[in-house]
Amino acid sequence: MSAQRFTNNLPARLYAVRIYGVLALTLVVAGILVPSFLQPLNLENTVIQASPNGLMALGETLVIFMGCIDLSVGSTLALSGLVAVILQGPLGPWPAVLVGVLSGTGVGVINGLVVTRLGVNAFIATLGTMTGIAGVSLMISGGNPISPPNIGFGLPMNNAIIWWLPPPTVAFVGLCILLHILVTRTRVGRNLMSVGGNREASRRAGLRPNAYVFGAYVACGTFAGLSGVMLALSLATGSPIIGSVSVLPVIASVVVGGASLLGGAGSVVKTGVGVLIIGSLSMAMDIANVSSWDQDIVLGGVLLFVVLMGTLGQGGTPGRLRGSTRRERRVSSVIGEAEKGVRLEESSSVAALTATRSHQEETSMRKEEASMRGYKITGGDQI
Amino acid sequence: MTQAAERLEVPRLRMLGISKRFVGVRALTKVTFEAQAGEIHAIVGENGAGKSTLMKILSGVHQPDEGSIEIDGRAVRFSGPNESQELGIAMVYQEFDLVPELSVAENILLRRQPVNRLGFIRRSELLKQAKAPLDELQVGLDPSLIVKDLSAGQRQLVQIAQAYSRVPRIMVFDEPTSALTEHEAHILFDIIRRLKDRGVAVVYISHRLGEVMSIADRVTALRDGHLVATRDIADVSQDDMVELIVGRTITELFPKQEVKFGEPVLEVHNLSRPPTFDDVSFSIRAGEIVGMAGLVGAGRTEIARAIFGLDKRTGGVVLVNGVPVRSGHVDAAIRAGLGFVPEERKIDGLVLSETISQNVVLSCLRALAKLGIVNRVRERTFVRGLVERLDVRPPELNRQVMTLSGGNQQKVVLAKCLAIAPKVLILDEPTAGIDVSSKAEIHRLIGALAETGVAVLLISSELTEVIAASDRILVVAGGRIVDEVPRADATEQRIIRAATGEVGAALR
Amino acid sequence: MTVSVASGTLRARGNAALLLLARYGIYVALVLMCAIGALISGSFLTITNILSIALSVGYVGFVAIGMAFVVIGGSLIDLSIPGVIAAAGLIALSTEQTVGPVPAILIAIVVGCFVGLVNGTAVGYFRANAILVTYAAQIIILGISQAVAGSGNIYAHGAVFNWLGNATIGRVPLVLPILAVALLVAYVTLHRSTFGRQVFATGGGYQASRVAGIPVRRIVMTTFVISGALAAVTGVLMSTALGSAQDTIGTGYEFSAITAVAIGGTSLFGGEGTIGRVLAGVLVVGVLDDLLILAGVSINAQGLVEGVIIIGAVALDVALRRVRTR
Repeated sequence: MSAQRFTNNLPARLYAVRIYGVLALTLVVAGILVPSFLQPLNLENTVIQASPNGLMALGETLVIFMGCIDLSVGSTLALSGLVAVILQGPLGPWPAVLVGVLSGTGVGVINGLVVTRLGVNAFIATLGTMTGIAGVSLMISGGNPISPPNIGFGLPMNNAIIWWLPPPTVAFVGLCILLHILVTRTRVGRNLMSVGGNREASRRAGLRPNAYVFGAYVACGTFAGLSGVMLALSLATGSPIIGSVSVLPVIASVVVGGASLLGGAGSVVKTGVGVLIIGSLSMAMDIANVSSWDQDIVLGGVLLFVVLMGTLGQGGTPGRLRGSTRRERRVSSVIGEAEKGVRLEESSSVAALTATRSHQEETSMRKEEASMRGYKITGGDQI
Repeated sequence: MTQAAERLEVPRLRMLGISKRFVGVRALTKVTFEAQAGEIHAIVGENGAGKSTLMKILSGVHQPDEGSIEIDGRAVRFSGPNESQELGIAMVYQEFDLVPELSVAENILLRRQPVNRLGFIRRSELLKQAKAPLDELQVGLDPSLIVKDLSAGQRQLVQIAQAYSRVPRIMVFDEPTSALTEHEAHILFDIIRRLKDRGVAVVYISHRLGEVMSIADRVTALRDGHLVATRDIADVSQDDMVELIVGRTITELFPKQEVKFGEPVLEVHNLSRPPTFDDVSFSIRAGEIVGMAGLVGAGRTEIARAIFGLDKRTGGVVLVNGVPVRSGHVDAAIRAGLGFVPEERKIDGLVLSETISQNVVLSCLRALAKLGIVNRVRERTFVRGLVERLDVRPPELNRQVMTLSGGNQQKVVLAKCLAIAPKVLILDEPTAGIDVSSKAEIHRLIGALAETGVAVLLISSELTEVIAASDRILVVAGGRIVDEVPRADATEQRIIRAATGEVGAALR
Repeated sequence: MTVSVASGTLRARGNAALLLLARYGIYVALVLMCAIGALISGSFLTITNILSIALSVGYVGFVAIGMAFVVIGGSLIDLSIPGVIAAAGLIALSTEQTVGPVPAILIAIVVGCFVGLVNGTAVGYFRANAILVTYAAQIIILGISQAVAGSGNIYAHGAVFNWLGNATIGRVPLVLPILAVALLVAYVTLHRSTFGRQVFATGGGYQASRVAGIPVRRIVMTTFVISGALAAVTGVLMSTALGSAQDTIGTGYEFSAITAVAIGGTSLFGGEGTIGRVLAGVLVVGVLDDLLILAGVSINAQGLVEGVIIIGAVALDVALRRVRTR
């Protein structure tokens, strides 16, 4: 009875979807402060402009579900775009696109191997790849953006193909939905969430956690690669420094979307909503001619705010990426239960387990259990 | 084939002549253990006796150096936990093995969720398949509930259902009741008996001999990595088991001195933080050892932590020698003369990566320092004195505490408390998970402390210990003190009656 | 039986060797790198080159000390360092004309402390994730600096700043003696004082430290304040040396700092580490950068090499740690 209190009643369910409220609030506030933001064209553009970051955020969500992080997405964005643009001449458009995306996959493979095989902390590992891959981008581009004359081909990235959505946005929305279904409805997806939620338990159940972490990084790199290629084609330029500032909005989107940095909890669709929230803020500020420095301030403030809000009512030691020990979780969940007004005994009471019993049955049961525990007159209890 | 016939022939599990050695330590020496189908066979022994090593070998985590394992008469070999699972061995651990964000059904069928051809999970089938083991074990849990919303006892049941759903032939329970309330343990035992009826060979590891007496058919005692004896339960008493495990008798373990009491040192008035605990009042005199008994979850640890300032309280006063102690501030409590030995020594009691010396001085750094700089010579002399007095082994001040045994670790925690010369010492399950000889040592130390005039509050779930050591016992139930039992009247019966009688009545 | 005993002994010997490597490897690596440097180029061992290494080491050294406090205290990282460096330089240089050089420097340091205070409060008292908080702080403070500096340049004026920027003792730039003093103070603080012990304890066992009466939240907060203050000092020194304040002067310093700390063998989980090792790590990073330049590796490729190095260093540390705890 008390257990069901947490999942099925109205307040709990409303709490779970509060992010949509936040989106609505953001739109309202932005609309009030910047009235032209709510014009249809601007709203469309918000979604379109948010798509590259959105694609990256989807991949990043998978990695964060694993309790890890990927800081190299921005560098991968640049690399893949450069690769596609550079190879377009020699290889032809479609092969170049493919190789570009695969270069992102390659970065994901490197990240995955470093984290799973070498055992390096995810933060440090992807910090390393971020710098390394940025270096590679600089190397292959000579430090300058590359804009070949005949870029683009049958499918210009800036034209709408479905509804008013151009390819990058279609990709973002489509992949968001697909990924969400994968995570919530398929065995692979549920196994992924379980590895993120309790690695040891998953291992004992026969899953291989490293495989899932590796897969998450590969997916993240691929998504970043896809995004980079699409972006480069739509801008008609491969740039080595693009994406260097993308990590903030990408991670902010995931965090705003409610995914837990400890892993195992969160929703892909909500990350998508987070992307829209962050994107709306950026677009509104662009329209209002807010300088890029001030925009950074606002975004940084939002991130700070969300992080602080998220930690109120939680416990845990600072800075840990992989979460607290199981005992700490158990202790904090017990305390959490107590603070939620559920008495410790009540949460484990008979009522939740079986049908109600008569008072007589209860008393005789208690006597039984007391004697069962060895509380006999003859012997002592435990040693 | 009847079960009786099975029992006479080939045992479900036989571990023959198992030896295992780790660096510098012989964990197991030629241990032989067998379990029949449809039997509950308990393994008892002190910490370090080899119980968990033996089970780790059975679960495939370790390989034996010597010896063989047979299942239903066939020799088997496994190189990892997956293989041992496939051979029908299921382990149910103390630490819960569940994914909190997933539902009960998803946890039970982890990795084996029913899918259609595209790989999508068939939800109704999932719930149905999860219900099967729950129903067979007569556990009335809704499989669509999310695990993180369940209580410890319910999670334990889900874990058992998960293990059972793999149709195991052998199930191993390792200290399964340590986090359960009395009622949950009762339910657990029903389920274990059902497992037995279904022909599963159950191995039950426990420190709690009373439980072993009531549930097991046979018991095997290990000591220092050797098999001591295997007996039918009908042929042993608890005292026999203690002797087998330890080689000594109970009365030798918990000696009690006669101490003259002084003035009240610790006074607690109306300590409250509903609903966890409410209106707790008691006092302890100098030299007195007051025990605090009650069921798991009654609120004793929470009361202690609130007294010590680790957690807040909403009402009430704590006085040491008549002076009120500031609420919610550990350093105020320490300065007032309170010492606390926490329940989880590895998390709350010690900084594992640091040395004995560093841990001991954690609370009294300022006293050993001049102008903020720690005087290393003074530190060394001081710590050495404490280490010798408490007989910490090995007495190497620069040794990392994570390498010490449980008993010695606890002594370091005690040393840390003694370093601040406490007037009141609160101990929360001080001998849990510690081998018997160390338990006796710690009790001797507590007694010695009381003799010097320290007021002691001893929280313990082991009735033998509480009754043997305390001058007075406070029984806590539902966050309130429901009975106060003087030493002369202290019996298990009275304490249990008080501890269970009030459950559910208070704080509604 | 005998086989397993023998391999046990072999493994024990192997372990012992690895343990030695763990403890002293960093110093060996340093010597090796210097040897390689001498081999690659005749100009490696010249005074000019050594001084240029020393100069870059100087700045990284300050931030690495601050980072070390944060890491040892268990908070993993302080990403706001580049922002504080830039902001401190901007503030010092732009306020110098109104309040004079010394107060300007003090104001800059106070700002650095303030940023540290905000970070520290969020991480220490609100238990927020250090990465996100300091990243957010970095963005905010950098944004503010950029907005303030605008497009105009802010130059260093006045005799004091000029002196500060160019002073040398003999041929040794002023940075180094100041760093040496800072290292000494840091050593005493971290390894000899009660505060330092409390930092180690907080990083090594947060809950146990709480039970022992250590004011853990305040300790965490203080480590961030130290980091912010040191970053501000670095910003002031760099700006006066450069002669002008730019918002990009701090770029990459958080990376160098964490690299130096990690390479030096300080555990990223907290509770372990020494100032000596941090210094060694800083030197390794400095010598490495110099080697790359001498070897003619392009600037662009340096990023690649740095990335590989830090991954390699941490992977090695992880592997050695696994050996140690077996």
